[in-house]
Amino acid sequence: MQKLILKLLLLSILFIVFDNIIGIAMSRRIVNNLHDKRLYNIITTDKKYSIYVLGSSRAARNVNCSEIEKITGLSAYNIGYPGTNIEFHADILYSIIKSGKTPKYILLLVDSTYELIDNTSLSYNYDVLYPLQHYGSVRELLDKRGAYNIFTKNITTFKMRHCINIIIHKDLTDSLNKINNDGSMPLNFRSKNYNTMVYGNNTSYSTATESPILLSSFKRFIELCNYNKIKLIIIFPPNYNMASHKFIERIKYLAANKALLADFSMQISDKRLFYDNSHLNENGSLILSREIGLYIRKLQQ
Amino acid sequence: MTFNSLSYFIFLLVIYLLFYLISDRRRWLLLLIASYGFYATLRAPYLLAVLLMVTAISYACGLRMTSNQDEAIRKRWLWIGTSTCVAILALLKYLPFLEAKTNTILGLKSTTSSTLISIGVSYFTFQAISYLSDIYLEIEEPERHFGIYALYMAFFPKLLQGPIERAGDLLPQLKQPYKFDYDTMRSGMLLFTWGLFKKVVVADRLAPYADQIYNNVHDYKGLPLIVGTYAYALQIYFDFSGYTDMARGAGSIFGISLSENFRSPYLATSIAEFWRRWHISFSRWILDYIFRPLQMTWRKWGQKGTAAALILTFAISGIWHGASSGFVIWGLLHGIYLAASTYYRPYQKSIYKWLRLDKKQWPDWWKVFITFNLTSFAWIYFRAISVNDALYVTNNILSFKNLINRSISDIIAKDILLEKGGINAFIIVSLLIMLSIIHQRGWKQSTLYNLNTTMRWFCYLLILLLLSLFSYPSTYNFIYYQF
Repeated sequence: MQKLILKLLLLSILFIVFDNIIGIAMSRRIVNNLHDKRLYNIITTDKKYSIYVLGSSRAARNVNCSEIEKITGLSAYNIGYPGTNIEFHADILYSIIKSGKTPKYILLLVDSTYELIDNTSLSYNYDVLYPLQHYGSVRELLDKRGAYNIFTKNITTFKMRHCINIIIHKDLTDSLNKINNDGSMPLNFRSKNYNTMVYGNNTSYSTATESPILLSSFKRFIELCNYNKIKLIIIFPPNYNMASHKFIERIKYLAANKALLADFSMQISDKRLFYDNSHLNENGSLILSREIGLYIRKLQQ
Repeated sequence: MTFNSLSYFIFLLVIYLLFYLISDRRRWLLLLIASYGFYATLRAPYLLAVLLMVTAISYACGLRMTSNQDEAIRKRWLWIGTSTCVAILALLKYLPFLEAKTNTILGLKSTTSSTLISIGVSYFTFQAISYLSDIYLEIEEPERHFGIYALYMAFFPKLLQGPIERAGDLLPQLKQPYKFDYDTMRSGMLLFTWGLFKKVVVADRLAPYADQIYNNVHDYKGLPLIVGTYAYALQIYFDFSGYTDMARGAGSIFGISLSENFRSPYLATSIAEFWRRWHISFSRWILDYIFRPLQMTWRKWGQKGTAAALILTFAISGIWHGASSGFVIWGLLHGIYLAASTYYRPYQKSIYKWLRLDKKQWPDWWKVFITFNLTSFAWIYFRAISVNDALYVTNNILSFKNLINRSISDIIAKDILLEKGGINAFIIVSLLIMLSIIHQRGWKQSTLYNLNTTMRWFCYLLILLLLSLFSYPSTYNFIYYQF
């Protein structure tokens, strides 16, 4: 029995040594191969921005931060992630604050009408966080979400299995995930369903369908901004057919006196400026960004 | 608590430490409590009650059989025991199905019984039936110690998915005093790790391919259907054989050798050989307790009787897998393959000669290819969500029209890699190649032990690091849990 215990101990020590060596080598390779380095840059560089744009694809696609910078004179960066929900946005905001990059303004572009409703197209994107898990703030977020157990917390290679594809292959880049220097991800083409798009209003919205988790994340997002003295501007981006007044009223009610609300949902109705029902194309995003810039400039005055 | 969970490792470690520390007299009791505790973690108290009931009934019937010399009485006890086991199994497996059907017809809402599960029930009822039959045939003596017999029925490494152990193989081992043996322990731990590797690295990485195809079969034609079918054939093998290796490894840690359940089944050169290599304890069971009695009954019909017995045996095996027509068709297909082979065998040599396939080496690979494809074809009915889906796959699997005017890179990316990128396929293919080299060279654990210390330790580390790095992040349940 003694022999077995000794050999197991020796094997464990060797495993820990090799695990760490491989882990360090891999984490470097992951970062080098990462296509979307926006969060990595925020965590690791000294560059600070006055404005961060957060949200799902509606933030990433619809807001051109260079345009906002031109109008406001404030530095701006887009850290919107397509397909993500408010839970994820709140955690990204937490990472920004935790890394000492607290901005003056946060622009949160809400998803009408799915912001507070569970749906398959918006989720918590672990794939963004796993490659950066060796950074304290990201590890803390993953830990809080129960992503680790006693094994995964201490074994580097076991944690790396989530991003093994990035280690071996560079992240795939295509026209849908092209990222500009200001962090925005504009679309300069049309969606497959473009021709079937119909302009109109969607008035239906029921609070009964809201998810308690998303609702509390939304409140947490507002609290994070208030606590850190960040001016939060909640933006309702243009929608070709899904702007819901009931939804806007609901968000206004939840954010009352704690955030500024900018409703651009009916601002653009020209179909040529849209990529699909809920996203603007590159030209549309320039128009919206100009409007947002002017809105912020007014606030500064 | 599943075998690939952290809680199971902790459970195994704690139970082993206690097992090591206590005296031989109490070890059976510890293992019995641990086994019942393990079963109780499924949070279905009725399952524990069923296990106790089957144990008590088979134990009592076994004793009754030996206390009587009268053949009629002995037969009566055999029937009481086996029919009770079969009734319990049928009730647990098919009640939810019957209830759901009745509710659909009558337009009623489901009640609690539709949530009944029967994890492990098949395995211990089969074991009870084999125990009673062996006593009736006077192959085995009945076990008089109820605790040991209860442990034989419930020993946790094999409780949920087998292997189905014969009384003669397992009962004597449970009574033997335990003596720590370094080599047995090392071999058990290695086998357990190897099984875990097969499950979480290979099977779980194949699962998304099979799932993507079989959950949306109507979106695909031709090549993707072949990829999905092969992926499932490999997934089910690595999943089930991985489980068996883990069960055998855990058994070895306690000094108990459980039966081998898989012997490279996809390298079989015929369907009959496939069944001698696949789920061996189950195929031995159906052969001994279903096929042979049926063959004996129908022996007057000669070859036709044998063929009919094969078809019925495998149809029953399909029904055992669940109340779905897909399983029955899967069983029938295997029955038909085997029945057909009884007719084909006399002409085999002349056909090979006619096709010029009678040269050495060549026919073996040709036969392996055919056998693998026949079993893969049957898996279509086993895996598809409905018979309609399976028929769709059957009708469209060889449709290659959509390959016309497409670039090779597009075909590889969309039809073979299923738009999952190359990395998953790269890992899977590398691992499969590695496993086939290991098999081809006839490497066994002893090969590893014969290496010099540096190489041996390098292999240990490599397995652990590969396991850690390549285990699939999403956990899939063991496929055979449901049976």
